[in-house]
Amino acid sequence: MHPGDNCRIEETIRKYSNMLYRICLVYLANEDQAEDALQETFIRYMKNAPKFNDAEHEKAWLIRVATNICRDICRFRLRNTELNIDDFENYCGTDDKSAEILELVLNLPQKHKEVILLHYVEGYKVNEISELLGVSVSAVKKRLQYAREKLKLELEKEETE
Amino acid sequence: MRPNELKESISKITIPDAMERRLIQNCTSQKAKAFSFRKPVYAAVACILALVMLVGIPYLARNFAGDIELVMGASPLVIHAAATSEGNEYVFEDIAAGTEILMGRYSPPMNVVPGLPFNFSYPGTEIELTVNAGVLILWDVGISNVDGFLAFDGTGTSRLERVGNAHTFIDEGCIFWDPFTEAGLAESAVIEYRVLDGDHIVGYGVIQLSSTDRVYSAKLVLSTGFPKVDGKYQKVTEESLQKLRQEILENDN
Repeated sequence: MHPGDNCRIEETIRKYSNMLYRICLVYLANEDQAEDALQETFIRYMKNAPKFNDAEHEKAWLIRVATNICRDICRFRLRNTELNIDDFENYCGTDDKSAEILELVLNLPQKHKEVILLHYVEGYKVNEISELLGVSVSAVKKRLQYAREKLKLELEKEETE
Repeated sequence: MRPNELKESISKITIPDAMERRLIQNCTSQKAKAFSFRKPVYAAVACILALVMLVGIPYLARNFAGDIELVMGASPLVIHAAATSEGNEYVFEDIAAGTEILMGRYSPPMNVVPGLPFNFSYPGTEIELTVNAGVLILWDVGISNVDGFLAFDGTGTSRLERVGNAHTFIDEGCIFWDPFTEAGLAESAVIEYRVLDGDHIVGYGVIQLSSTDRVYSAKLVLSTGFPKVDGKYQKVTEESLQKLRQEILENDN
């Protein structure tokens, strides 16, 4: 990307930063690392981005790069530095229910977090997630099913407590 | 929990304004923030590289650089060769580097010994012998020290074994060199020996054999030890030995 493309990168960051930050934060459950991942994603975008067919193509490319970077970070990080419940107030304010759900999602295994996020929040279909993450459709379905059941179970457990 | 609740909760995550500004600033100025997740990895890699450079480079320089001279010292290996022949008794003499010993006339049909004998001794080591012409032979005839001379005493089993052009002794041993080849008697040959302490070459030598009208003489043209330097074995490579051998033989001729 040429220096003259600064406007374009700024535009891209503004357009996708929320969506990608959500993915990175849910995946990593750590704000600093999410920021690192986000920056690395946009740097790779500046250096390696292919010619995109449309905005959806560009979005999918960014999601794929961000999730790959998050996986790398998880592999490299030496200790568990996840958010605690107080940190969710930064995002959920006084909405306890939302904070509770967010905490449950963040505590899911990585592979379940990413499908929940892409399906329910970003609105991707099962076959699209399959392509994005490079896993089979049935694996995506199983992960979604597991994640739903796990969330439901945990939520019921908390409600009874 | 309904899907909408899930979406609503997660959608509340938005990038903090300050973080977005940082991101734009870093990306547009091409000054990437140092990635914290990689710091431990980079630090580990840097430490390993530093260690390798600190320890490895002097080691490599000392052991692998082609221009590094080997430190040579006296060889504790003792070599005896039969200097004279008196009937069935062969008397050995200690051969010193640079001296030539007349080993006598050798004729296979007439000799009572299978070849020209050499005795090598260096306790605590392995002595590897190779010869470039003729054959090495082991002959268990028994040797004893009589009046200061090593001599055959006939106490052995007389078992004879032709071992080809290479043999290894542990501590010591007597080998016979048979100059007889398919093309007739070899007029000259070179016996090389390497003294090994474990995997390390601690000694090397070259015996030049030559003959005139079937009268053979042996000259120890090189006999050297490779003492430890700073308490460590020297890295003696086959290439360095061959270079040494070539130089010695060229100078000797």
